[in-house]
Amino acid sequence: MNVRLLKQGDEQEWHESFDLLWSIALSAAGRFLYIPPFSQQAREDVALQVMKEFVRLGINRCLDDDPESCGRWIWMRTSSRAIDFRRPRIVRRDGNQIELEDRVEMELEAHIEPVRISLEYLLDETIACLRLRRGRFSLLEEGILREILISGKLEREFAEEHGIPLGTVGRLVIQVKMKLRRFMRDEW
Amino acid sequence: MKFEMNFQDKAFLKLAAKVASSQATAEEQLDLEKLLHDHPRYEPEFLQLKQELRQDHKASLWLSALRVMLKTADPKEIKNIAALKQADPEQWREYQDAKEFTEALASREESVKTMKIQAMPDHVRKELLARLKASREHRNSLRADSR
Repeated sequence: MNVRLLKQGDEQEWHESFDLLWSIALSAAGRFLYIPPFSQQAREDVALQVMKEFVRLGINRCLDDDPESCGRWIWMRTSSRAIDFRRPRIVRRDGNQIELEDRVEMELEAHIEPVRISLEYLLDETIACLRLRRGRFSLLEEGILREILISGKLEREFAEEHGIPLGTVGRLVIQVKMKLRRFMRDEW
Repeated sequence: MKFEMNFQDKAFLKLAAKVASSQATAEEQLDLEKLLHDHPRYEPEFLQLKQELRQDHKASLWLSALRVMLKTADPKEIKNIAALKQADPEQWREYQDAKEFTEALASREESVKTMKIQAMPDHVRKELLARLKASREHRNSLRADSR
């Protein structure tokens, strides 16, 4: 997959990449929308929605020298969309608000396979995904996520070690938390 | 201390922060209600404080999910999250979403390796190509306009 050609809108390249990207989107959707009432149609709807977004804007966030970034973008976007899709929703029926049953949620949770991967990989992958979203995720923010927010280093220690004012570190800690939430929720 | 807040404002803030973050006792809860009743100017202050703390708490929840998975959360944090299930189902749901989303990210490589390639349906392919063409034309017209 040639990311540069995709960005240029090369139809041949898109044709050749479509099946792989579509399969990735369907596979991610299937992880969350596996059992009834979610059907193949629901999975395809979510996948199609994400593919449209990918064509319009996602491809521009991908890295020219990393073909895997296309699959990564589609995977995380579909996961986010699928979670949003199946989140218990309030539906209007005869003017009353009725909550979609939680039963589906519980069954889905039971279905999902436990993850067997290294913790380093989990964090690396999260950071790689954060870098693909709108707005930069800088090296300094990565340092703050790894060392202060995950590993528990004190803000003061981090500030002294890197020669950054304590106030700046404090502000960036809040910023990283907000970025993490916006990234994981459907707020792009 | 010079330039300190006045005593009553300080007392309100302390109490309001406790109530807003669900750390207050029943007695403190009543004290705040009385204070709000006697001093209505504190009402919007309390609502704003509550909103700010909730925003920050929500942002922290996502980080907590990551910390739990990376096994760097301390026992107190784990206990607080577990308590959400009963105390605040909405935030519990948000925590679950965060956890599942992170698990999904972590499983990408393995899932992509083992998945079967499925042909994109023709109608989807056509729709995407039409969108691609439209966005290319839009870009070209913007370029032409800027010249």
